[in-house]
Amino acid sequence: MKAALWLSAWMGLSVVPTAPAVVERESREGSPLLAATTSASPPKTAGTEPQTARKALEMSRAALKAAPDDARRREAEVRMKDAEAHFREARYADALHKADEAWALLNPPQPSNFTVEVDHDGGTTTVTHRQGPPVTVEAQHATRILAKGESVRVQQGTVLPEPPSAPQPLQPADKYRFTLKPTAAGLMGPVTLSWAAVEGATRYEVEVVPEAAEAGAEPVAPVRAVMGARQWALPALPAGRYRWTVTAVSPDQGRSVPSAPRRFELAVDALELNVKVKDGWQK
Amino acid sequence: MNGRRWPPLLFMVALATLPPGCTADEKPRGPAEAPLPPPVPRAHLRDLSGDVQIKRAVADEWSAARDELPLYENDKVRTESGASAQVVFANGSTVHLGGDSLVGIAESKLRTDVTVLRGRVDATLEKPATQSLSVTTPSATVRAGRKIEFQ
Repeated sequence: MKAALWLSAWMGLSVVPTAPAVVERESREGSPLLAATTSASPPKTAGTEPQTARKALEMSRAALKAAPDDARRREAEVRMKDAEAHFREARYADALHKADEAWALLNPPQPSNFTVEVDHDGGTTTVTHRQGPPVTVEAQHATRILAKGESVRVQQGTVLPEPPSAPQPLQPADKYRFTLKPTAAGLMGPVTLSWAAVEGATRYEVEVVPEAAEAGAEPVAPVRAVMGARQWALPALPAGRYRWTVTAVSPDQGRSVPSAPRRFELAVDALELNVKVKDGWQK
Repeated sequence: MNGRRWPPLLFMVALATLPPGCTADEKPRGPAEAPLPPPVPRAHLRDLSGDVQIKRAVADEWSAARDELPLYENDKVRTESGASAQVVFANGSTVHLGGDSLVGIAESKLRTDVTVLRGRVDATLEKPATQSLSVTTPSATVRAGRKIEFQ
């Protein structure tokens, strides 16, 4: 009996592998990270680093900024608020997950296309984003995000060029009240917005967002335009209060942050009634 | 008394469990002898037009490329003026090489897919939510798609 116990112990310790050991390698192409992060219960990645979460937040913020004001954007804004709160509390995995959800909401499937051009001596790289979600460009430990239509030129051994400064709005003055006669369709205009030139900028993106429409009026969608000039004559708009910003875009430096918002109001000019009286007309 | 008899008995049992025909010259079979898996191509060449050449990582000479040629780590592809080719990666992302271009297929352990040393490439991801592509040049690295941002 004792011998049997010794034998079985000895045999049990001498385990001979029956198959070659397989060394698993992480497949970059096959790793379904997005699927994992968008699942109902996200994996809590203990090793999520702050810079990884920060980069995700930056990407999602850029996508949020470029998104039209619709239900999808509002839902994404909620996710981004959660992401920012998690980040502030150093819950980087949760921040990453929420930023990822916001990004996915704002980026329904569409192809991504960009061009990379390297000159003959390899010293200069030009990256141009053509379509789809933003891409990142890294050089000398600095990162820039390129959205549709933007490009950046990078010289070897140099840092990425600084983005242009934000344009300074000129006209109309902040909170200016326009009193105009509406058209038959109830719209008013024209109102011309203008701003100061920004060095290096070749175009300007202007966004006008309604803040408060008159009671009973139809909700108004934001209006946007990309201008080569430094002014924009707005299309006729319904009465109400509006907020506008302008962003400078440079072919070499990328885009600026939006300008400080300005506001204006469109008010209906009071009707002038002329009533015929005995001795003529009375206003 | 009985205890002295057990070690020889155990030795005999151990000998009996050895596989027959195993000589001193033979190396024991194990994981070290398992054949190496064949290298997995990182991409394929497609839609070749004009003079397109390839240089394998282990070769010294350039040779004419052909359609559907698999591309492995550190292989290089070049196009002459007026030529073009498409590099299709395993995840479906594609890099279109214009004329007079030179690119290298990056090692999979690096955080990039293709290195552009000269010329112009147009990169496309049909499903950027699930695909990724990283293009490196002597001056910069461009990352597209979602996944790679969070790695």
